[in-house]
Amino acid sequence: MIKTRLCDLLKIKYPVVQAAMAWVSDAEMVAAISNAGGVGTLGPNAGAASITRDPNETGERLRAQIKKVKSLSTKPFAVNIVVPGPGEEAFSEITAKVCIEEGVPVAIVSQGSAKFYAERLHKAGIKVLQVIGNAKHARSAEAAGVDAVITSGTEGGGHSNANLLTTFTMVPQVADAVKIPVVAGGGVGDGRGLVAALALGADGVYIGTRFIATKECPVHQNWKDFLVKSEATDTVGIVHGRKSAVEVSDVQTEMRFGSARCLRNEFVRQLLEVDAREKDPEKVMDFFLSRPPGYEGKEVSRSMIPAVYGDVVQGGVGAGQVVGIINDIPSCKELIERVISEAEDILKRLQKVR
Amino acid sequence: MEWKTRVTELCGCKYPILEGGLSSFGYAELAAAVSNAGAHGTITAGAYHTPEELRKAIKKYHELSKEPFSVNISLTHCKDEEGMLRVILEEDVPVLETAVYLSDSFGKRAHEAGRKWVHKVAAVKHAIHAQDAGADAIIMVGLEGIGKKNIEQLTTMTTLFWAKRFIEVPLIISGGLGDARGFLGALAMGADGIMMGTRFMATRECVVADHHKHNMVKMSPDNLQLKHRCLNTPDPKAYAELMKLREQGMPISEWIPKATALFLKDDRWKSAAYRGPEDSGEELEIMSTLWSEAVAVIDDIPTCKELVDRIVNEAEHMLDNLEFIKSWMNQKRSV
Repeated sequence: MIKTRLCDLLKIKYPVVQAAMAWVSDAEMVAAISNAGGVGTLGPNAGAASITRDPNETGERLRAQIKKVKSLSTKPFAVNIVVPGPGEEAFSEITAKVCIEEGVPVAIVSQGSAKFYAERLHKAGIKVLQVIGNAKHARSAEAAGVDAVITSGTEGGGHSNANLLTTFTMVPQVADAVKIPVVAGGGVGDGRGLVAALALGADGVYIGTRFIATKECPVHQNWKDFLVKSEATDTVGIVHGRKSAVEVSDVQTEMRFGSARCLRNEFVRQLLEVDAREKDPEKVMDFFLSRPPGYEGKEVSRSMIPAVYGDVVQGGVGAGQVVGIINDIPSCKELIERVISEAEDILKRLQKVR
Repeated sequence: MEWKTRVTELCGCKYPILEGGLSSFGYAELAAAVSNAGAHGTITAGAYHTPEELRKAIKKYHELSKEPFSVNISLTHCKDEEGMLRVILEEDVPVLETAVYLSDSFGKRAHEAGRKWVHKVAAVKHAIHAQDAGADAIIMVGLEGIGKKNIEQLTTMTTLFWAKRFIEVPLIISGGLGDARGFLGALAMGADGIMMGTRFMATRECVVADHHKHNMVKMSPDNLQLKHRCLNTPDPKAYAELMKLREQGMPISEWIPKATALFLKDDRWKSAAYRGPEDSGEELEIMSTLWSEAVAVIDDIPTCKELVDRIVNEAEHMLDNLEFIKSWMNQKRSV
């Protein structure tokens, strides 16, 4: 029943959704995941190898990726709409517009409320999922008409840890708070995580980091190799500029600075050093936005260089604690089938426990 | 129905659910109620002031329950730990549970006396050490828990799969668990059993005053103070200074209380009391320093038996009614 709710809603075979990740996805990867029975998601900068400051170009790049997914798969897939921070409105707006014009099956709204988009997207027949960080967000999302919520446990990579809450305590609470399906993200990367998520009250899983270490993922090989060799304790939740997640309740500050979980490396070391030395969020943000040495004359960002240039030393290498169980680089299809068959074995084992 | 895992076999309980050590509230009466409910009760040595008081408590337990149980010693936190161990080994205590610091010698002596030895840790590297030292089972505490903290700490979910990679002896997981969903989720992740502390504090048999228990029911896991204590990392500068003290040779018995205070952001839990009839704001604030993120799933104040029955019944119901699995498997077969 639980499984079929999300599967019915999204018309998919397995309750597995690939998490939205910037610079990580492209049409081939998304089509591979959707063809394997899950939901692939085109994230920000999908298929791109350069930064664009032009909203129209952002829109056309996305449109080309959507058309390509459709040429490779007839299955449902998703596009990520990031709720804009100050000055980013045009990019979010064009993303929503292209989703509607192209009639994508699913939109995943993250880093804010879906209320500005839900009605328009629904009118175009698009299912709307929203990434949330606590039960209060979940109730607001449900009230805004969202079709399903995605919990973002602090275990997860990237922008997962703003509220600090974890998968094991957040999922049951959110499942109690709303009637719509709940998709559990943060710490999930195998069949154990899938069964645990369903047991906790979720209707499906939201898998990010584990999908980076796949054959189809377009990021540079260095990022994938870094994931394979890293241990579960090698990630750190950094804040690009604010004191700590619990001390910020102001949404604008949250959007202005933000936080992310990534692998410890030279970039993280330097960022923490600036934080300890300066004790000034603006200084930390300046460092985060600074151009690393060796990229003179190139337009780059800290979150782009691991994917495009393979620079896992000076870039912010997003990863969740699930890196501890990543030991290989399978195809997306192999990965999804493995998750499902592991889950089936676990269920057989659990039946024998009592 | 009886459940069977390596933990029920080791501890001799009906269900793979253990009571966590409860600093000043882990009395024999609560432990007996937990054990009589089919779970595994734990007397906390640190809840008693002297070894002779502990001896009386153990005798009291035997009057109240015939089921096996544990006595917990949190090394460096418990008064007269040597005297407490002596009493444990003189009396009929089936399982010694140690926590916090290197407890190899305590474990060895428990084994020599024919007892089981279980060790509780917050980091996988400490679990590996305890396994090598011969512990019969390991209890891992995830970030959501309160009490045991470590700079390397992973959440309940991720510490579980990370520990499973190295730990072959039975593994018990703790940290924010309190209902059937967490119980089954933990077993799905590969745990042989779960431990619940905060959830057992909000039961009728626990001596904590009622108004505190009602506050546990009301408390949100989103509460800023609770999140800060349980889930936030310690101040990096203070952490660096703390590590320097260790390198400079500060005795471990002095260092661990400092580390605990840093990881829990303060040490007000030391003055927590349960007898206050008035619900003063300050008292509530101090009491709440003992609670974990398990408040997310604490919605009532049942008896221990009601709680354990409910968890087991709901878990069995979930296993009997996994329609999502059935439809999933049917679907798979038809493909």
